[in-house]
Amino acid sequence: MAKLLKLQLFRALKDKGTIVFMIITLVLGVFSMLFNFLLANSLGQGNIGLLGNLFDTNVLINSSFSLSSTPMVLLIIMGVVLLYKESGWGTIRNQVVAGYSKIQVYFANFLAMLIVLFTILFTYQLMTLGLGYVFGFELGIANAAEFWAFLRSYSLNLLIFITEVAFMTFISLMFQNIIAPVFLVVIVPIFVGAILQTVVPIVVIMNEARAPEIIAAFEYVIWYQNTALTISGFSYEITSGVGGLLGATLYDTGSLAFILKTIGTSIALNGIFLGLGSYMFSRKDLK
Amino acid sequence: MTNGDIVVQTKGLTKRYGSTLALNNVNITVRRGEIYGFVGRNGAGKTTLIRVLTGIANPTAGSFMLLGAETKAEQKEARQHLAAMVETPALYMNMTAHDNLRTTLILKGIKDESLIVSRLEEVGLEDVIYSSKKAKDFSLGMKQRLGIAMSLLGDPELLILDEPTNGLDPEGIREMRELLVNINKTRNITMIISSHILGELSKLATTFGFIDKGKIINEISSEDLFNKVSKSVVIKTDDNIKALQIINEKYPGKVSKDDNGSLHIVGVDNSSEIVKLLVQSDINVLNFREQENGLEDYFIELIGGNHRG
Repeated sequence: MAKLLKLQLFRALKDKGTIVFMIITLVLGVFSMLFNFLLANSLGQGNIGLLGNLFDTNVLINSSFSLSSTPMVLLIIMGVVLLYKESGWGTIRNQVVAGYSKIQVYFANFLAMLIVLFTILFTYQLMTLGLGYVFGFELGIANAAEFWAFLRSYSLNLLIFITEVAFMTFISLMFQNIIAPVFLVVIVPIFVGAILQTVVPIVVIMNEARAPEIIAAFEYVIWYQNTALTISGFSYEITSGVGGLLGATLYDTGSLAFILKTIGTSIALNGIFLGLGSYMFSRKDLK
Repeated sequence: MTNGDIVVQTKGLTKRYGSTLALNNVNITVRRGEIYGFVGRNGAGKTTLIRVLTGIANPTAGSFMLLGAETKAEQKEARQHLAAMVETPALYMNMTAHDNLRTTLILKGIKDESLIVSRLEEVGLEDVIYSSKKAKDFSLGMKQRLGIAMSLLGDPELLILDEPTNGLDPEGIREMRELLVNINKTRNITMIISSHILGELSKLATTFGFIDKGKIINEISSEDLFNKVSKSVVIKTDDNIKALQIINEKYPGKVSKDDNGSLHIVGVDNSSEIVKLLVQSDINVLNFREQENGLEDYFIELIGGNHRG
């Protein structure tokens, strides 16, 4: 397993795409921080309050985990392409022929993606911290309570990030092509929330009986999609409007119920993507 | 021949893709030191069998023994002594030849990096040892050689090559053939080589397995194959039963009778001897002709189901 992981990291390092994506991510990060700086200045001190703590460095760091943020979109595309190359070139076959089980191959791919993508994201976050200091943004952590609140959000974000990488690995290795993973991994997480929020009220209105199971299922899907955005620092709640219609709450990121629900859902999804995924992959013929 | 001499043995191996039966109850035996030529038309099931043996695909039914390993877990271990090139050489196209071999070193846990140079030299790729040229810019022949160099790292006991000469020009085919024969002799590696061109395999294989529509239709040694495809004599007599018996006594195993009642005698240099033998036995020869059977004729006849074996 260690050899497989070493191989995966070696090939990621040798891939020009890794370097290119890392540079693009960091360059866009610099522009993003510059834009934030100009925006914060143009709004003026008096109006900043309307946006809450949006420009606090700790919020900017956590928001980089968001599925709709530029670094995450770039990293997911990079990960899908990197995973696909093994299937496209047939080099994934070498690992099975060399005596490794497909389950080992599956986990090595997942772990390597996690390490590579998180390394780039972490570099981006360090850069955000550095530029935040240079541009004079508040850190937003003044005491131990705020530090723990930051750490809690960061940990939950990391958990959702791991789930996203597990999902990406699952789709990429199951399809062994480039179209399906790009579509499912990149497009779906971004647009599913928007689509669902249009569909849900229609379903609820059409469903005269208002079957609680249907409503609960839709609510739950929306909840998880929004969780990634909410704990990333975006004030993207559905407690009003559609959310109010459904009675959706649980967006207090500090509440134990929210934390447990997030951890439970992520663990369950990781179980599906890693446990079931590796089992299905072991039964699958490689291309 | 002991069981230890058998490197691969399949028992009723079957592979189904939906409604298509890619492998149908396949039984083959490959012995240590052999070059096993696996012959069949495109789509006959050669690659499928190789994919199953290498673990890339799972069989639908049946079992196989690989380097003494019977169970799935044992076979996983046994594959550490196996190398294979399935369909096309599986290379990291964005890496140099040197780095591609490094991936195999990492995969097999080999520390000795000097092996990279020696293997590249062995397959005739000394020009690219320190080159920055990426594998994607190699010619097909170079890619095939690089794939073989990667396979040779770790000193495998069994080398499986799927159509290694596919797409090569005549010069490339000749060079590849010489390389494989040399590897087989100097390293005593057992090889399974698939091809749809029997004439090509006949120059290096020691045993042949013919596959068609997923079924093994014949397994034969190169000696027997050449006996069958060399010049043959076709005779029709007024007493074929007696003639068959007499010729069989003189040339055991070299005569057969076809559906038209003609006798086919193979591997006999002096055909006039046969006529003389029959005349001395008071058998009248009604028809006599010599015919040349090419390898491809034999192959086509075999897969057409008209073989007189």
